[in-house]
Amino acid sequence: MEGKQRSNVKFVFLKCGVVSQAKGSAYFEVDNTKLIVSVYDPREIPKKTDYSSKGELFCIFKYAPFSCPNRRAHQPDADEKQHSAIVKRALESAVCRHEFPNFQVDVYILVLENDGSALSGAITAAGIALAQAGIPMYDTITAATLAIQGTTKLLDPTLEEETLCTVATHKSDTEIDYDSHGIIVLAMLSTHEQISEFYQLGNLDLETLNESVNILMNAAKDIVPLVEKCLVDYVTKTLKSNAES
Amino acid sequence: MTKPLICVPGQRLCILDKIHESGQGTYERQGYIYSSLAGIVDVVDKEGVKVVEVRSTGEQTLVPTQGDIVTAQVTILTQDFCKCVIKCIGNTVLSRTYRGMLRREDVCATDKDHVQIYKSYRPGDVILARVVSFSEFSFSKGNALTINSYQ
Amino acid sequence: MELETNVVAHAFGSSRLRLANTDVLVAVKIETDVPSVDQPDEGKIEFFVDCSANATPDFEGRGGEELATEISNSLTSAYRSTKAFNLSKLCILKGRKCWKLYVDILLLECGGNLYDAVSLAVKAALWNTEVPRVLSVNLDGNKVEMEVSENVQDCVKLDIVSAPVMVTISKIGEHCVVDPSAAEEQCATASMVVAISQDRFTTVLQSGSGSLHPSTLKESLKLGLEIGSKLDQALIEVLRQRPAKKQVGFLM
Repeated sequence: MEGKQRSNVKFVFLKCGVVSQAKGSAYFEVDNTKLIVSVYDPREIPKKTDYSSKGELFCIFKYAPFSCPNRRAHQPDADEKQHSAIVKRALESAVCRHEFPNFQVDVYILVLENDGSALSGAITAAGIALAQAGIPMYDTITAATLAIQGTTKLLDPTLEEETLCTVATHKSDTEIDYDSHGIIVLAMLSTHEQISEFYQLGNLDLETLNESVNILMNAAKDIVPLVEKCLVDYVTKTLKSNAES
Repeated sequence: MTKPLICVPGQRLCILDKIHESGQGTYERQGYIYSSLAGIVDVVDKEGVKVVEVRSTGEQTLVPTQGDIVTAQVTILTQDFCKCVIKCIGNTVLSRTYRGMLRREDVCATDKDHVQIYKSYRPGDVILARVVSFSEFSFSKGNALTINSYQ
Repeated sequence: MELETNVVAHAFGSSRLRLANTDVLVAVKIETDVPSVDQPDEGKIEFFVDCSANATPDFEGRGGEELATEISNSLTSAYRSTKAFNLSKLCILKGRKCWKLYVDILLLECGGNLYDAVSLAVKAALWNTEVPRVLSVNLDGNKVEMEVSENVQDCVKLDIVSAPVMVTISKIGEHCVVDPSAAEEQCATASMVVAISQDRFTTVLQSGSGSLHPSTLKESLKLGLEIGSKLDQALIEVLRQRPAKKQVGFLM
């Protein structure tokens, strides 16, 4: 871990239209982290009696029981609920909610294998799935994770690197003072340069935070061409099959 | 036949001015027209103004809005209203049905007091209606013209 | 701002904070527990937020659950770092026994700016918490026997100097506003909560939908840091001035 700097985004694999029954879906893979997102048509909000001029997003983020080193229970635990809330907030700024008032769009995220940065992958994949489903959006949304331990900054950390960065370590063997450490997830709408979600854990000072914001913004922008290519490929494919049929 | 222009959400399409206008699937921000869907860009000429639209390749995500003509099937009848299930919006058949409600006052344009719901509809009837407004979790319809009414 | 500590007799530590129209009551209870496998030398702390129906009729039944989960999640993230709150001090016997703190927060009245009020009240309650002093620990076969001091006064105080304080920053129009009232919160385009502990950020999260421009983000972070540090210092001063046992209401 010592002195390792990784400021290039890892190789990402994206594919959309993977779940045939869902209106929109996407598969995201980076290193060993794999996840699937499905998006369904707007449906009426159950148990809602008052009228609202904006639609709602309903996100469920779930780790498959076999995805993490320790088997996870079927019931969503506090971690998963918090991640669902984060993904929901990130997507809310990207979706044109006034186009489906009083309805809710369901977004289901399932992590098949978790090797770190599942949350940012989920946000990027959910953006693709929503675009493929034809839900009107303001912009393509991409996200990236940065893990910090002391002076080392790692983009898209693996699970091991993530757990290392959530623990505070001493600056050196002689000093009792703790070092900076933390994990930051940032979701961005690239064309309009808006940060739609910012989540930080750990213990960081202001300059590290500012630097990290810059690194994360560049990383998120790097993913945008991949997202665009994935969507364009899908549109060309559907056009071809429509023309042939 | 020109190659179709594909776009992704958030892609800047053109400047918003008198000649160009934003249509379905696009939105305006800071003087430009941006796309809000992943699909093909279409420029339609309408009365000298070019309307920029984006059509998505799959099924359009349609949601009933005010003024839409919808096709619905009656499920439950009471004295004051009848509940129905909306099956189509305009010409598109929906994959997911929505609920709607037709009030007694909205059945007929004239002679509102003497309308009897039981005499006008029966459960199972397919009707054509216009969406009047949103209220609660369903929307009322008005000016319904029955297609299959009982004799 | 009004702060009272030691208000709940049954709890090991408690506080009540009144901040403009927001009223929060926090009680800390301690139980022994077995430490988790991946962290055998650390104690545990668990937050539970309850939005009482007294606060708003909206909270009746399960209405306030979403808000409660959000607040308890943010507190858990804020206290997760060892630097913020040293859980190893809560360990009694490594791998066998530790203290588990249950921090229960009751929202009596919601007048906007919930995160700030809750974090201040939690910090005050933790300062007020008295952990019974463990005299001896014996490992008898597989059972752990521990002797706790009989004297009620003989107890250990927790070190909460570095416990995080949360500040809510809302973006209204062109400006960043700190400490928004309920009306201001409603019309904010975006808002975020930062937890500050000794000039460092423990957690940052967004508490409403709405996106920010990167420069606004950086500005609000800086603003949050300044205000958070000042708030932290002011709270510690007040807590130190007051003797531990008396029940006195202070006006800051």
